[in-house]
Amino acid sequence: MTIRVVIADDEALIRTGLRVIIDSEPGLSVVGEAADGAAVLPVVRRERPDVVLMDVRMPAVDGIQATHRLVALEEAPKVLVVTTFENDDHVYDALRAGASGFLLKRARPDELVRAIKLVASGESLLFPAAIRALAGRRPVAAVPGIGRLTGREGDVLRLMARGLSNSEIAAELTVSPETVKTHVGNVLTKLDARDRTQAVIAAYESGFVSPR
Amino acid sequence: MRLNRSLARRWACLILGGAMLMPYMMTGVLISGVAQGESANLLLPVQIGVFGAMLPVIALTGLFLPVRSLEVNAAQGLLGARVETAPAGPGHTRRSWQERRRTAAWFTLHLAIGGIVSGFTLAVVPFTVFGLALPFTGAPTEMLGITVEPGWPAIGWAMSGLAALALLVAVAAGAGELLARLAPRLLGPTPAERLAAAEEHARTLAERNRLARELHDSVGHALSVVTLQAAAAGRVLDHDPATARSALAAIEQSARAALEELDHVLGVLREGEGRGGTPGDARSRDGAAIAGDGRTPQATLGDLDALVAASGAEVRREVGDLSGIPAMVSREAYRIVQEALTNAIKHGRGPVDLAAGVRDDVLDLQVTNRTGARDGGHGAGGGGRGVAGMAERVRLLHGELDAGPVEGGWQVSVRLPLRSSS
Repeated sequence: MTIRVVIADDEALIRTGLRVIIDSEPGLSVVGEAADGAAVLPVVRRERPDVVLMDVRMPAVDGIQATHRLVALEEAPKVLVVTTFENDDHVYDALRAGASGFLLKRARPDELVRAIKLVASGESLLFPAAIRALAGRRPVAAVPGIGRLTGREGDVLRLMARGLSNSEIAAELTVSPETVKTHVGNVLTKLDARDRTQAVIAAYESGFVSPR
Repeated sequence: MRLNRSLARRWACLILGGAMLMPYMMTGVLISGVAQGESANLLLPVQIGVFGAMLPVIALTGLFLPVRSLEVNAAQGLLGARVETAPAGPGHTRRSWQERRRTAAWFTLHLAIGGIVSGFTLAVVPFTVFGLALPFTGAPTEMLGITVEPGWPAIGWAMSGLAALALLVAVAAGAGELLARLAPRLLGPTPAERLAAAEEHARTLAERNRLARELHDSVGHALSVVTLQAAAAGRVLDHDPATARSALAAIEQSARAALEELDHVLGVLREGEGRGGTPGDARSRDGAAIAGDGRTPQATLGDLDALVAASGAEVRREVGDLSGIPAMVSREAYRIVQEALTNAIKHGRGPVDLAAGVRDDVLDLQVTNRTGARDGGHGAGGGGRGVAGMAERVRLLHGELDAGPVEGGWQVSVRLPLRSSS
């Protein structure tokens, strides 16, 4: 099954570069492009992509606002933020807005492809160390629902924060992958998170997992 | 040896004070002579009276004469005092009263003490020379109205001549030391000048910081393009040479533009290191709005259409080919136009004329509008601030700015060189 990708970036050279790399990879296909945050919504409605590569800095409607709008859609695509600088507060803002991960524009083609596949599958967390570093600069805030996690669900959330996939968590806790999947589902529901990234951010922000 | 040389220089400074005192003394003696109805009386007691009477006059002239830099030079070079030079910036063309009072106090002190030491020098040196000569004349000699016999009396006079000379040296050394200690306090920067200099410095740093941050963003962006296009070219090289070729062209263009911008901005930053002076109160206003919020890319002259559309005003455009303008110049020019348009809309009425074009490596910008009925010009109120902000940007890029009334309206005219060397 082909992963359908939409690219939103105001710089045409970035769009064409990403398109050539993605299209040359079997199993990935670019189905649309948008030059700013306002144009991406109609493209997504029309093409129903699996993943949107979203630039943070765009004129008029920036990537954070556009991400907000995209994740509110029914059957929302996964949003992968693309950024020039890793050390950028806007990246974290985009993750909080609902993006599933981020990617540096200087990433190698194989990293780019791996990131898109990972985000599309939702199997594990992209760049857990970078997300921990970004979250570490934020003050602790109350997150409703974190107190309702069971002990096992808490264990699973901690392992998710370390970037472990479902099967790795299963091996770590010596339970079956199906059990882990149930736990992960419960965690996402209780934290009102749309994917692992959102759940892990909530874990850091509430102080449930210490980023330091 | 060093002590002797420093004493000689300090002495010279005191003599300089005495020399500067002379015009005052001559005037004073002349006036007192006329007042007393006699031919000018040059006796010492009268001169002491004149000296005392002239001190307030010296102080008064010290308030207005531009003697500060001269006195600072004298204090640094002759007294060997560590006087901090007051920072000179565009905001310091008018002298503060605090600075005038300090300078006047110093001027009076220098002339008074210098005058006294000079007077002593003129009296004591001949006295010592004569005194030393007395034992060798071998005949009775007149000295200060007394007949000095040869032998022991003459030796006594010689000794007192030496003692007077020693006393003179001690007085000169003491006076020099006193002045050297007072100089930093009276001639150094006033608290207001220090504050102004610190503010100036902070503004310069903020401005340079903004340029550096934008350079970082801009070059980082260009390198991203280069990286991605190179990766793309590598992937399609074998089966799609045309795409690979256009990717290489994009790499070349992006890298060249980034290098040009690096060259330009680093030139501006490096040159700014030695210089102070970056006023621009507009910075806190749009600096935060433009540079602080990195979520939208920096606007350039390529965004003029959007700017004009967003202004909502009727703008008649006459825009030439603006390609090939370095990114930094383009960004700053955009903001200049932005400020000029804002002013034109705020203060003027009717349509605004906007002209932009490049000729001989110079970017010409002109924003013209008819002057509003109530408002006489842009110099007053908010308009002045806008002009200050524009002037700052223009200055940084070595451009020229003219803002002023033209027939029936107001025109802002800016010329920006496109190459840092021109």
